[in-house]
Amino acid sequence: MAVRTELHIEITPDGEVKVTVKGASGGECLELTKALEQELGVVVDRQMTSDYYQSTVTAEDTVKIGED
Amino acid sequence: MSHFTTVQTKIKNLVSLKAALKDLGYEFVEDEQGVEVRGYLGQKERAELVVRASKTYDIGVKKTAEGYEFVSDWWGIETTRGVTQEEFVKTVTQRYAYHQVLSEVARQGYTIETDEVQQDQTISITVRKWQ
Repeated sequence: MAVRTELHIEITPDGEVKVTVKGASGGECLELTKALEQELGVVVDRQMTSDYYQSTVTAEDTVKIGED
Repeated sequence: MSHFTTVQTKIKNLVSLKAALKDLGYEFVEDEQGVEVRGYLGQKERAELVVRASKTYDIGVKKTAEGYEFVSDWWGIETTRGVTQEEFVKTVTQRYAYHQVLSEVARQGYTIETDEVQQDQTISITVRKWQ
């Protein structure tokens, strides 16, 4: 039976990316967001929660500015 | 089971970076041999990708081991383009993240349902897939 997976992604003006997964099991949820994380940068923190199906990818602006 | 993840965005994909610059209305030139970055404190700075931010000032995009970084005389950019260093980096990073997200969800077989910019300039995207 077909399962619908929906992702809601928000990218703030500061470059923070939040991903909310709907309709995926825990393992799938991790699989889905993992690829996004890899595309965006280096994972610095990951916390597992069991109360709700939400994943937050916080992309901090760490672009170096060459001033020297 | 779900999870929270914190990632530091590093600009590594030149295709998404160029798409971001185009979206924001920046013209740029590219040359593997390097292009001169104008206005950089009178120095002869060169970069493979150069954003023509104004008639006299450029922003160079240089590749490092950790990703791309921006080199410029930011005072000149602010004076001639009206954009601060912080504004430039933030808007480019947001737009870069947008293109990285779009290419990744497309690769995973998702279709875009909504793609909007909210009043606070947050980009809001909903994608869906049946499997």
